[in-house]
Amino acid sequence: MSGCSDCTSCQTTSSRGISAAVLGAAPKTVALIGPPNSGKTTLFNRLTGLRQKVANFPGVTVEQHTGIAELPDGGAVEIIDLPGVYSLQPRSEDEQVAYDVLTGRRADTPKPEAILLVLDSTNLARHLMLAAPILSLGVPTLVILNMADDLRSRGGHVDLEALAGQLGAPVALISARQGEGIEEVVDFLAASAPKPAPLEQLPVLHDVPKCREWAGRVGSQARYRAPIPPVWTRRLDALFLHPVAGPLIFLAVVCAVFQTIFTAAVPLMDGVKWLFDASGNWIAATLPPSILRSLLVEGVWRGVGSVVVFLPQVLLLFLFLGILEDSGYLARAALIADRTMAKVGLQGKSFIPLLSAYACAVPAILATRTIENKRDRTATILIAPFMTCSARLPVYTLLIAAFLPNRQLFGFANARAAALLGLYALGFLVAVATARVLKSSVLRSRRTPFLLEMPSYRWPTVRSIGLRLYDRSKVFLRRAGTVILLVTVLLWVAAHLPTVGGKAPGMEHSVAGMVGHAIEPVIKPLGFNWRIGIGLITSLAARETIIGTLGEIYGMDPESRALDMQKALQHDLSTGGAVALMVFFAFAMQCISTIAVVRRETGGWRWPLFQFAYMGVLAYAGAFLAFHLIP
Amino acid sequence: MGGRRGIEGTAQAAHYVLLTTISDFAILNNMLQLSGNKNLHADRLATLVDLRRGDAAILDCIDLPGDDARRLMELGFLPGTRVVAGLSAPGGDPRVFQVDGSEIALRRETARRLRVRFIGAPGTP
Repeated sequence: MSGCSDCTSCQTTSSRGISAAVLGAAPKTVALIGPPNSGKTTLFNRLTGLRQKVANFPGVTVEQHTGIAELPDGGAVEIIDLPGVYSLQPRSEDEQVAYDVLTGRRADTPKPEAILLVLDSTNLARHLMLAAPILSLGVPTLVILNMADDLRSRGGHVDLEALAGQLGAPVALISARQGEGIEEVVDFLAASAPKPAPLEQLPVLHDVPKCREWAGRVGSQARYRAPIPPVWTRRLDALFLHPVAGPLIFLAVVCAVFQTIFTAAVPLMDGVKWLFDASGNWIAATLPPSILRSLLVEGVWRGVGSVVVFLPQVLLLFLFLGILEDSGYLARAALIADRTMAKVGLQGKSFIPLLSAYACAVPAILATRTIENKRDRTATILIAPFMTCSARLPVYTLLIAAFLPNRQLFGFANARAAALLGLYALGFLVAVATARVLKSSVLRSRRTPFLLEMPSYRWPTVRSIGLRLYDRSKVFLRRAGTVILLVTVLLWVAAHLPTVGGKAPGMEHSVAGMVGHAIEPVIKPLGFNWRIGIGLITSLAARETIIGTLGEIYGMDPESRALDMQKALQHDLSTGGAVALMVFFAFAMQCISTIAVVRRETGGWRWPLFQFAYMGVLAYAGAFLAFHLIP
Repeated sequence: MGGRRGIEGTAQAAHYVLLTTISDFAILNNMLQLSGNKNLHADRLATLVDLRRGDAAILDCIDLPGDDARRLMELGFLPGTRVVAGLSAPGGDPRVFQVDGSEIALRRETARRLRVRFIGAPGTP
């Protein structure tokens, strides 16, 4: 962008800003809508930056992203990012929500005073179909043609003034990725935009062929010249969808992700661990010895610290997922995976939620709403928690490092990385078997058409990936700061009661110890003792809590205090017991957040209770087998 | 926009009436001209499954229940539109089709329900 264009945009901004201030009519709530793959979310990120929040629309399973866009005159506009839709015919839940919000039918959301309609300028003729129902709402609308950089570089063209004339609404050509033309959108937000002129020839909205015909006519009268097909996308697809190279690359990508997560994260994690140890020692040295210091250092610091250590690993995983998704490769992965998914009665679209479930089951379950078939969706929700989420990763990492030798297998693969990959495979295989059983029994359904749009390949932007990582670390740290903090404090209390002559009773005779001993007979066949038992109970809240718990238990016990966690664990578990514990974690549903989100998404307690019981039985049986098969 | 003409329907009761517009015929004619002497298969009725990579065809009708057909039409699979078969997952299923400026992947079982007028590909005998 040249300095000159910035300058003119400045002037227009200020002049419009004044007129808006004079009229006092800047819109308060603006809805952002567009078809999937139109770059809607990129624009949303561009406009709102870090000032976003994600919630669910009450009563439905559709995510509600809202954010605040700041205006040059100091004002602010609330932007609602509506789900990506191809039409406004309310059939799916997404379309229903979009329709209800735009027409002011939702009591919880104010009717938007203006609409930003985002369309892909490289595929304008088809995307214009959505303009007809949106413009006919009679709400002030800015028609945004996104991906201007692609349109230009591939030789496309559109006459903006003619298009605005045809549509009776202002039109802006922007590139949300490059930040080009954003000031035009901000100008629109700042000004009191006029209502769109009634369309001269409104197509019959529910008749798709007529809508498409209308869109084609509007496009050709705006002298729209479609760009030539993206050369690089064709070239890359020839490689990534090659009958032989394609699946090999697919496997290589998956393996590379896991190998990197396990090896590259280690120095970062050591750094975080060192920070927590050093600051913990400093606190211990600064505060006078008291019950409060004990709670703070042994309870809070050690417990929370042992979980926060895994932040680098979680972020690396989200970094890879973000790159795969933003580059467009994820859609190709779904295509390659579809046949395999179809064999267990699922579809390629289940692959993306299931892949996200490797990060966390909660966003994965939210992502299943792209699956239109309800039974396919329920089946995907039920198997998603079997995917190895990032909360299991710290548990696996710890146990593998404590019990498996760090040596090379077959000359190239690290034994520990191989074990980790094996655990990932185990969760996946059980998920597949479960899906098969469910889809051939209670969730049997007619196969729905599988439709997958292949977006062009694009370079992921630092900004978009950075925002996602920021968001994820916020969620992860919030969990460490709430659920896990609460559990560690409760555990500390349970471990220090009942007091004996004003002193803590020692772990074995505390409330926590008694609970551990009470469940020991049940878990003994799995190779677990009462200390692991306490960890299992606290991990029902969130899987990674077991590490904080064990850290706390070992920290309080004079015998194990001096040992590091791996050594202490080797006292408590045999190798068979360690494998049994990992298998238990692979199968069991130990996550309050997941149970809550399944209840919300399936609309009742039936499925989450079934899921909890089923996964629990499987975990017990699997751990029992592992302990008895491995010496 | 002028008159509409129905193309003859398929033997099966298609859920969607086969309507093409004059402009659609223009596309069809264009295609026929482009393919020149190679349009030997122009009258053959086939489905998308019969297209090999690089083959082009004109979509005739969608033999699927209302909502499924609608979804396909919103993605560009409208009667009268030119569809080109593209790459596929290993084993040929699902296959990517270029239609109306986008690339959409369909499974074999869905592609079988989309009837086309096969017009061959530039460069095929």
